[in-house]
Amino acid sequence: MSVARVNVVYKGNEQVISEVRTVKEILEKLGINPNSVIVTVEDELVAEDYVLKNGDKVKIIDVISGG
Amino acid sequence: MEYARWSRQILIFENGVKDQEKLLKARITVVGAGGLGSALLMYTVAAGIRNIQLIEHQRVEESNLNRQILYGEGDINTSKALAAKRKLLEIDSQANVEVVEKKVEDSEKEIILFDPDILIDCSDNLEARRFLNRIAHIIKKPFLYAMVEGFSGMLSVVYPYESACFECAFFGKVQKEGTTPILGATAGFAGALEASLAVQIILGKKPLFGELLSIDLNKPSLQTLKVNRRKDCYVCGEG
Ligand SMILES: [Zn+2]
Repeated sequence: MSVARVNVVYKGNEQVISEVRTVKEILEKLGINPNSVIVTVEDELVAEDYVLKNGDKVKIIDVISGG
Repeated sequence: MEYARWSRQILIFENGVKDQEKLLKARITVVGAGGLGSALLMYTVAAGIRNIQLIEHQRVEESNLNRQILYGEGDINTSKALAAKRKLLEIDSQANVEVVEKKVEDSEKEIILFDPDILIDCSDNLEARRFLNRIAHIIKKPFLYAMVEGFSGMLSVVYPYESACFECAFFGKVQKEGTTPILGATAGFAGALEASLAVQIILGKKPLFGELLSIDLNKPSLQTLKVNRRKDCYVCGEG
């Protein structure tokens, strides 16, 4: 598994994160609890073990639960 | 049957009056008559969905009034389910609203007995949605859910054993602690969207199949995200 450089949007801020292999590593780098968010790559929901490719567009969305 | 009340919507239905008759015969179970439920219930009843099971056990509080537009000041400290029923009967006196004043987790028997065509989540917590997702897979009926907070919303429909279920998307996720901040209009927007989806489902369509709609009313923007079924899902998977 090689490292990738990806675009990450979280809470309206866009940033480039490099040297990551999986979604899990992005969340670790940003200090985000994986149980509090869902993550999409190219607008498709993915699991934490998803293997990233260079240039992937990643979105991290807070889980909400109100009604 | 007098159809004047629904004449403007019959104009958009593919099968006109026949589609209206489907709505009149449909049965929905609605869990929660809060911010989502207020909009959902008023729009579904106004659309002619007359057979409603409403599961709600709370009382109206003053802090509900920014978003729970079924209620007014005079309803504070009274039963939400009964106040909601009164309001819905003002909209359509022929509506049949069966009230279940229990927590949803204790209402399995009532839901199965009612035999709804759709289960509609307007609750305020993940556990209620996990429960409804399981019931939907028992009775094999579509499960429509929405979640809101602040200016944000998420909304989807589960078609049991066909499309991704609630757990395929949210397994292991946890709810934030404390009071949920919310603009009334956010809940109203998502609840109205649920009502529109409920009408489409009753008319035989499958909106948001395998899709999660992400709502951001701050921008504002709507985004459709793809959600796949998980083979290892403990509710809908092959397990
Ligand atoms: Zn599933």
